[in-house]
Amino acid sequence: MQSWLYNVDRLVETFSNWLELRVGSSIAAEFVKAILAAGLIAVLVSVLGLVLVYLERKVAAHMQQRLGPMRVGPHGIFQTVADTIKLISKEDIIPAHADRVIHTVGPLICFVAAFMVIGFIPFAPGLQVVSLNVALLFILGISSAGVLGIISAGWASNNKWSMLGAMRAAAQIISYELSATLALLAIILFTGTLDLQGIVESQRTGWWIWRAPVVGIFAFLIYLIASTAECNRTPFDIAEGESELTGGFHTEFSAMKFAMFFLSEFINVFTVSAVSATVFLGGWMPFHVDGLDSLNKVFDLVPPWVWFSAKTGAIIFIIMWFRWTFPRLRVDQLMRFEWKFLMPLALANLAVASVLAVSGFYFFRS
Amino acid sequence: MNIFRKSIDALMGLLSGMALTFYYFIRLDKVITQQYPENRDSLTMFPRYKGKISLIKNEATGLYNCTACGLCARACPNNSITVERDKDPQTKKPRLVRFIYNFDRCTLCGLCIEACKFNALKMSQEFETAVYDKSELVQILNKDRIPNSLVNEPAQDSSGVLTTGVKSTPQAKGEL
Repeated sequence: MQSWLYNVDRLVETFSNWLELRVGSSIAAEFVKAILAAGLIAVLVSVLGLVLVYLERKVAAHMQQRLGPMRVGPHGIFQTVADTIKLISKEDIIPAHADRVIHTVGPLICFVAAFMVIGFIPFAPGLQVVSLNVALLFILGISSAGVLGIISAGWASNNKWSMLGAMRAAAQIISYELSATLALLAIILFTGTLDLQGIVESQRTGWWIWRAPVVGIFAFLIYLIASTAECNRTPFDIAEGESELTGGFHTEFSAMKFAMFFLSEFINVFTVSAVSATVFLGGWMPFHVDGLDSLNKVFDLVPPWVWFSAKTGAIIFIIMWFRWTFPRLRVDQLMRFEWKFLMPLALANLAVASVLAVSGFYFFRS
Repeated sequence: MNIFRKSIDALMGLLSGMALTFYYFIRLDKVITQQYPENRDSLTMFPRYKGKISLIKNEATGLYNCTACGLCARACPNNSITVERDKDPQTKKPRLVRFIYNFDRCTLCGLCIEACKFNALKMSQEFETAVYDKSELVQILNKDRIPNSLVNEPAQDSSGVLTTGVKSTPQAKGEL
């Protein structure tokens, strides 16, 4: 039972000991490990991009009684690979009056912001690139730095549509950032730590979505809505505004620069889902109910990283489901919804949560 | 209190929409996309599809319902129908010789079917109408029941000759 499938941390530890023996000095070993980790994240990100784009198209198709990509490979599984090859081989066009430097830096900021966050996510016990005691704060900070990339892209394009799209995106992401953070804060009150690994550990007896009475489910819903808006996805895709802004901030981008925006959007979806799975649904922690030991043992049979992937996948599906069901909001409706409804609700939720957390009124206190 | 009711109403609306999309997501048999070249043998056109026109046969006798009256040819705005007729030697009644259909000019408007008084024309379900040569688009629709003497005469675009589109065959011209 104690195979590598369950104890990924032991595998990682064995490898790092072996590496230190081989390399000699521990500083050099750290350096090699950092490069390896970055490489692994890069592989993960590109695979995620390919798989999520394919799944998005398939989910979209079947929700609209279509089939989606069917021609490239069995059931079109190589469609996104072909699309990637097309994007790589396309010409990178920079408009004549664009600011060349910022036009190049914009998509890079966006991509790096999305890329860096992956390192903090605990995929399984011990399977985490950087363990930081303020990891959640760090994730929120870095992922909102992606707005800078969007604004600079819109500004550098020297195009009215791009500028309008970038301004909308900035207004939207900064607004919804508040609700998302307040929703997470409500759970932080219960966990008492910002370390993601610690947050997962605190859910050993049950997930916060139902252990924190009522406020858990409210915080989850608020975070789900706000994070969908932060990812600029339908029904909150006014930043792209395909019908009126022809793509918004990425109108003037082609080839790999466009691919970076596209990829960072999908990585953001993954990050957001992973964070909500970690904070609300217990991350890699199997489904446990305190007291029912036999049931808990059955759930323990499933490896932690499978639990993590399943929870994250479920939330990704919900976000895709939103996209292909709901109509878009107008700009003023979007802002009104955030400032007059969602944020007051998140604040009230936080107030109730703090009372509950201080009085210790939640399920399965250890 | 109004805001609570409105919120709940909105939430129920969103949830019913999500239920519908999820229903279609799991029901693979509801997919309406056709994988055309692969399922060519089993593909059937939906009943309201209107393809190129064809003549209706009487099931019992095996003869065409067409009486060669030429109403369809007169109704056609593009002059894409030419009805050739002569007199039946026995009954001395007008008889259909060839029903020439210029599919290249046809806009599939269906006015010929509206004009027909004898239930002799319909729009078929045929949709694979591409050909390699333009001349193949001029077709004789009653090919299997042409009177014997005229079988070998080629179908040709006779619009320049006759404005009405109703044409008597050379043999019958004197009698009509």
